[in-house]
Amino acid sequence: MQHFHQDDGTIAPLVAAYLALLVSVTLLSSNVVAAMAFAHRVQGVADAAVVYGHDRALTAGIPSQAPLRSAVEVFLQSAPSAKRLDIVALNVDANGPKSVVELCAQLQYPLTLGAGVVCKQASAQSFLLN
Amino acid sequence: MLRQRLKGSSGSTPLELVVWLTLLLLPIGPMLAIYEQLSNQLAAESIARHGLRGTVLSVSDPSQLPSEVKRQLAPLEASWGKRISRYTLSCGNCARGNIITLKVVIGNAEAVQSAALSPR
Repeated sequence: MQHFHQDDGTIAPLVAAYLALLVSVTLLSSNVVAAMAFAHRVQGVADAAVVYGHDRALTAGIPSQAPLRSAVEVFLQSAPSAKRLDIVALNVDANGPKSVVELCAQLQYPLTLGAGVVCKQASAQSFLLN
Repeated sequence: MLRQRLKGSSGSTPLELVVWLTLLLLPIGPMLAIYEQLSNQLAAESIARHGLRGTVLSVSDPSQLPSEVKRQLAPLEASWGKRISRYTLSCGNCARGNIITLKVVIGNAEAVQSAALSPR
């Protein structure tokens, strides 16, 4: 308890710790928000790619694996939004009446060193409306 | 030496307080600027994605694209509480099956999304 009554020393270590905490929280939260924005971008590309591929791979309402993959790759090579991504993995699957695209892209953190990978999945299915 | 200085009682507390308070308050400006930029980026990405998706699903005739994009972006802009600085829609000759690209700019943040018009 005696420590509370002492008036010697400096608050420098305390302030330095606060400052370090402030900077770390800023960097961490910036990375989180940047990753959220990037996830929107990847999801948008996956959504558009699966719709593009599904539309072009349909035979009597059922997508075929090879044309689906080929069309998705054409989209990823030609769409400006996809060209801005550093795509590290692509999984295309025709599962019954459903087309599924899983896309992983590399994210470079804006304020810190290091990179992460964001993966998003999108699927499409055709319905007959009477 | 450092230990002695840290334990020393010489100097002025008000002066030290002012110096350290300034140091603590200085990062607030840049922090706010970073958050503003990131918030704009998040809004631009979301608006571009949902705006283009809504447009592609709603349009039956490619000639309606410009008016439909405008109609789709207005509620998204309002729901984010942001002001779109500018947006551009490019689709080559805008024929069926073409890839259309929407670029949305909010402040310094720019988002680009592409989707294809239905070939049928």
